[in-house]
Amino acid sequence: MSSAFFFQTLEQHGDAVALIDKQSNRYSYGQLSQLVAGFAKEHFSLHEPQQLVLLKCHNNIDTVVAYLACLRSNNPVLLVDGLLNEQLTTALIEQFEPNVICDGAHVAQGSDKAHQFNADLALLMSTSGSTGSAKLVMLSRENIAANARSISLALQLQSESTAISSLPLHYSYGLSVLHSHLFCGGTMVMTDDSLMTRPFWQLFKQHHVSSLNCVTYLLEILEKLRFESMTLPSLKSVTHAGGKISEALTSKFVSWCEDKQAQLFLMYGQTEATARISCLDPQLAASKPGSIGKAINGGTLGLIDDNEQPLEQPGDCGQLVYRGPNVMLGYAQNIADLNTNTTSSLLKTGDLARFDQQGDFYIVGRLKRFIKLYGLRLNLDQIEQFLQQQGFRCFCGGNDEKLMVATLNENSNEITTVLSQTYRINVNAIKVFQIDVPVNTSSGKTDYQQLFGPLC
Amino acid sequence: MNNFDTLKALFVKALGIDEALVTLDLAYASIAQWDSIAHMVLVSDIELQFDIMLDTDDIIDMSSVAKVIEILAKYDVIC
Repeated sequence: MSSAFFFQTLEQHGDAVALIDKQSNRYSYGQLSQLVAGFAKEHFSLHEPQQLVLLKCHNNIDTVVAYLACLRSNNPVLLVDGLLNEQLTTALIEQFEPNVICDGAHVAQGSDKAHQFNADLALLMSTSGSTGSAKLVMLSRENIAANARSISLALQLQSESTAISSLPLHYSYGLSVLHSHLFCGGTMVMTDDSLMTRPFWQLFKQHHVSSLNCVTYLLEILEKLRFESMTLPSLKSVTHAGGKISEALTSKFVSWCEDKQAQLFLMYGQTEATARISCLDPQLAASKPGSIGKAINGGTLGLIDDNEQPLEQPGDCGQLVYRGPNVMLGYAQNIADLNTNTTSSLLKTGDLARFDQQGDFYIVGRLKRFIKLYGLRLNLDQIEQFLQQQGFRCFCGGNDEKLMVATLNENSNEITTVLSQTYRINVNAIKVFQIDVPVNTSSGKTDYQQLFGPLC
Repeated sequence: MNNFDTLKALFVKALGIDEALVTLDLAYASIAQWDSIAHMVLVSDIELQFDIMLDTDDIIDMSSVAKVIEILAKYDVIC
């Protein structure tokens, strides 16, 4: 590993534009570096021991500056959705007792707890951003730098590359877009406007955005927006990650990207491996729908069976495992965990996969109890627990299109409302239905398969 | 049901809000429920209900209930 990480040497790109805000103000790498140094000096220099920082993320310059200042001054930072429900944010604060709470440029003192940290700990991300899950992924500076480099290589990013904040920064995929562009001296347009708004597309065109990064529902938005007839001459690449994509949608984007002379990169990632870990060669997007391709530079993908033995034949189906320098330090579920190191360079993804003769991987299902709604991971057990606490007897399941809740109660509408408000899920993506009695397997556990079908 | 009532019902369903909230000046992103996902649902429902196909500019200009009504008028849907 080189001696300095990209976030420590921002000034090496000098006058090149690092960030552009929604008012079209430009910030060179030199200016950004000064802002970061200034922020660190003002808020961290007096504190000799490392501080735990909770950063409420918005897609703006202040958030990026605060984030980079934490990385640079070696204070572990926990990224949360700036719009996260207050109750969930408070729960996270009570659980991890951050010393500093940042909301953009607004900085408040938190707990005076003297934390003990794993020496490599730099970044904490929720495994489920929209539920503010208290299970955090612990990442190191090495993880961040290695992943930024691999992604930047996979996408052939360069100093001319410009991305726009189509995804939130508290989401590992969104953060990796920032990392990979800063790594190569590229530009990032930061706006909280969504793809459904005119200002987003004005910024896109005005600043010649070349890279558009999408989860499945953003591709669906692009489809709704008649992406095929939009004139976007600066567009060079579209990336997809963060969940399953149907063959029908893939083939539409294969052809639309071809028309626009943009490359379509179909990728796969895990917050536990910092962000994206695989990529399908864009040339193969048409012939291998559903494939997530091969591991990115520096990593290896493989499969293991139920006894954790490697599966080496094309077509074998097993749990997808990944090995690489971007695999996390471990999980943190409480303060004590922040000082642990369970590092194994092998990550079990919890996804079931197979690979073909050429070594390209395909996800075929899921072992863990979660779904991905609009690209965000929702832990079903956690939601079930939350509903129990609210006095509802429920079982949760679903797929990447709908959160399904089977309830023994009669107030289905109330359940929909509570879920929608707490987790900010569109009501149309929630389906609540009544059951008369719990449905159990022969061993007495809830039979989720029977209730909701397989998780995939 | 007249077109305005129909449109209101589409907002209620797509955004998951009370009908009383659907006023002319209700704007995109002014409430948490009217986000990009709700907007996508809304656009699909409007197209289906009124049998029209909105273009890109119309979709991204539908920034308030009043604007939606204005845009629908272009498609001869008078609310």
